[in-house]
Amino acid sequence: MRKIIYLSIITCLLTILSCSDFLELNPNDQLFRENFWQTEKDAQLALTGVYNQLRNAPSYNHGRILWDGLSDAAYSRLYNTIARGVIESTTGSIVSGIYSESYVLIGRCNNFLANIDRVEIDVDEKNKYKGEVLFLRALAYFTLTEFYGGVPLYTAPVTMEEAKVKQSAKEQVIQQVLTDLDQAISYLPDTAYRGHAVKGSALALKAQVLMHNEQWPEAAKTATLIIEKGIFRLSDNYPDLFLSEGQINNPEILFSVRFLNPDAPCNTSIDQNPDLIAAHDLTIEPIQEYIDIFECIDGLPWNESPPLQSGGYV
Amino acid sequence: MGGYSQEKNSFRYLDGKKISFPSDAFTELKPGSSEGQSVTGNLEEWAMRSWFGRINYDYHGKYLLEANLRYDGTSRIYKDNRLGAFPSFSGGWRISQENFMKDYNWLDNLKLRASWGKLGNQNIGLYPYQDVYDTSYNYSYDNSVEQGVALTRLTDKNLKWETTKVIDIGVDASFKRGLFSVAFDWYNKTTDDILYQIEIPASIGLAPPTTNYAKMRNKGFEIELGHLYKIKEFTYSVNFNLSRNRNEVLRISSPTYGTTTIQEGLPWKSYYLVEWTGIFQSEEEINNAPRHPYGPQPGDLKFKDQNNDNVIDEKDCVVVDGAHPKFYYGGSVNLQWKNFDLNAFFQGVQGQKFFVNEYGADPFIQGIAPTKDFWKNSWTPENQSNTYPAMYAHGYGPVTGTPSTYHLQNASYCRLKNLTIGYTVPRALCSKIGMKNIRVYFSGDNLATITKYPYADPERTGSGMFVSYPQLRSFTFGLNVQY
Repeated sequence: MRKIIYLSIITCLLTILSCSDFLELNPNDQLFRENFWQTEKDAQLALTGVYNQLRNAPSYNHGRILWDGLSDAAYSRLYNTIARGVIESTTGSIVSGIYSESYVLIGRCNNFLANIDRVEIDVDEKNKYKGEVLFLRALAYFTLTEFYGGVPLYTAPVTMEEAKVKQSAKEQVIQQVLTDLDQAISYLPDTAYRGHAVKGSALALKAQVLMHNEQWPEAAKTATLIIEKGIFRLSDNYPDLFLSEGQINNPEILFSVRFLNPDAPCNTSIDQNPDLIAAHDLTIEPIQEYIDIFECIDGLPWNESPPLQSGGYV
Repeated sequence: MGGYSQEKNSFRYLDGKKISFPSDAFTELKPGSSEGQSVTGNLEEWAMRSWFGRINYDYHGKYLLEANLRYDGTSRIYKDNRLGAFPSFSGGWRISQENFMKDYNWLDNLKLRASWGKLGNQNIGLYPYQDVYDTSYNYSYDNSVEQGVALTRLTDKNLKWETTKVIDIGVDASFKRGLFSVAFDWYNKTTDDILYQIEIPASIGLAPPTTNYAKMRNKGFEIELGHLYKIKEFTYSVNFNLSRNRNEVLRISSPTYGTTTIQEGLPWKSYYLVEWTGIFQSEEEINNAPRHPYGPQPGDLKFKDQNNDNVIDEKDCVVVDGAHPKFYYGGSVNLQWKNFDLNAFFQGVQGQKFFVNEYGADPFIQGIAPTKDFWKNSWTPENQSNTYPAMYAHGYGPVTGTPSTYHLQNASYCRLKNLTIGYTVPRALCSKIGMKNIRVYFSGDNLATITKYPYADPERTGSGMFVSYPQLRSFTFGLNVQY
């Protein structure tokens, strides 16, 4: 009897004293924040994490095709009510989606910029990465100003309290966008576009921002700069822009969001797969008047142009 | 009694997949082409360590006392708050056993009970507090996939156990050998530090942390009454039970509004709808009414302008009861006379309402025709109904665009769940055939329902679409033979 008591007491003590980290369990598929930001590999992982938001978010991936449904050029059953102006505080959909998805992108950019200096890396490489991230942050803030006007402006990661600031005026946000783009233009390499943002990408975005904000002379100057560099020009074959074989190394594309099956695909839901979007359930359909204004390569409208009548491309 | 327990749960998996094989006959991975192959695997773990003890005391069957205590430690909470203490006490007093009660022999049992306890919950995902970068955020720059990581959430290391405290007071009494019996319980249950993802500004760009924030209370009572009697060869017994629960959200970080609302001081997910007051009968009536959304015509729904701002919008939503029933009740009747027996069982719910729209409720959704009583009575210029709008298709703004009490249906019901009538053949007759026992019975399920619910089974469906498979009414005839 006494042996049993002693044995149970000893086992209890042993189990209590042993493995005090029995309850200290951590995820096996994620990286600890304290151990991160040390090598160049870490910087590349974080950079890809920023680009990932372009692929994942409907506001930046092929979901942008559906935005034409908001205008009078096309109809989308998804944006039917919003396009008619019925927007309420509980609408959701892209009214809240563009906002939250853009800020996820901005959050990742800010986190990158705040931590990249901790990494031991060649200065030119680091600046190239910084340039790409600044370009993406500018893209996100520009998208926000297009839909919401003035929005909260953060240039560093924020805590829950720091996030609660009044939105800045649209001009201020555009100012930040242009500053970011000028910085990016100085950092990015002057090469053709092969997946990573390049100087031409940032110059093109800057021209677009300036045009949308009616700064015509500066916009013209920036656009001329791109033309003069000669790296980018119009594609020889118009359909190439819309087919995956034709998009590879296409000189007209200054920046795009890229996908690859099966590990980095488009959204896999049937509603969002671009191959099916045009065919499925009125997800996006052009309106006849929009089709009628398209001119074929010989300048004639589509129902009069011979190449199209005989089954060729425009 | 005391004890110690520790448990660890490890879920480890390894997944390999190949998609092209030279022949369908192969059932192993090796012959498959490496094109399109994929591998994945992970280890997910949690652990708990607990100490517990109990003391029990019984004095002459009159005074009963029990006390429990347990300490639990879990891997899901950061080490500062890892251990939680959960005691509980209960006591009972069998008044009928007291000396001064011994003379009352019409009293079978009288017992007073009370208990108080505290329990903990830590079922909130495996790794809620760690600051980590999530993997698999990859991207393909130039026809090859590169891996990426991203920070995706805020965390709160001050996370602690979610606790529920319950207090229960009850009394059991039984008189004259079961002629009348009653059991009554009153309870108050408060759940505090509910693990919750609070709302944070979307502009932070990260998912909110899991923190202890919300608090909810459920309080109510349960009562059970019984009566049995015997006159010569006729015995009967009747049981009835009733329970009522009131739910209230005590604390929440920010209220939510939709067709249901979660707000402090209201039951969880109470209905939050615009009131409909009738049908527009004429163009003139529409022009004189507050401005309704979607441009209604005669025959469309008319709504109530709660705040008198002459516009119908989400500000005119009111809280409507019915999300949680007022009462649950049920009972049974049992009769026995000579060799016949009868048992009836019924149950009901009182005060529940379902918000039923879409499939089956709105005409022409996915091609489903309207219900007969709708198309027979719908508004037309000749039949100026004030209860059914003009024929519409789901998606038609003036009727389905504004969530309103038009789609709220009373789903209280009382149903005779089962009725069984049986006859046991007399022993003498049985033994003559060499059998021990023969019983013949006839039983019916879901025989009758009293309800105002216009659609399918109120016991089966909830809010949402009314199309769900109803329960069946069934009749069974049976023979039970023992030999």
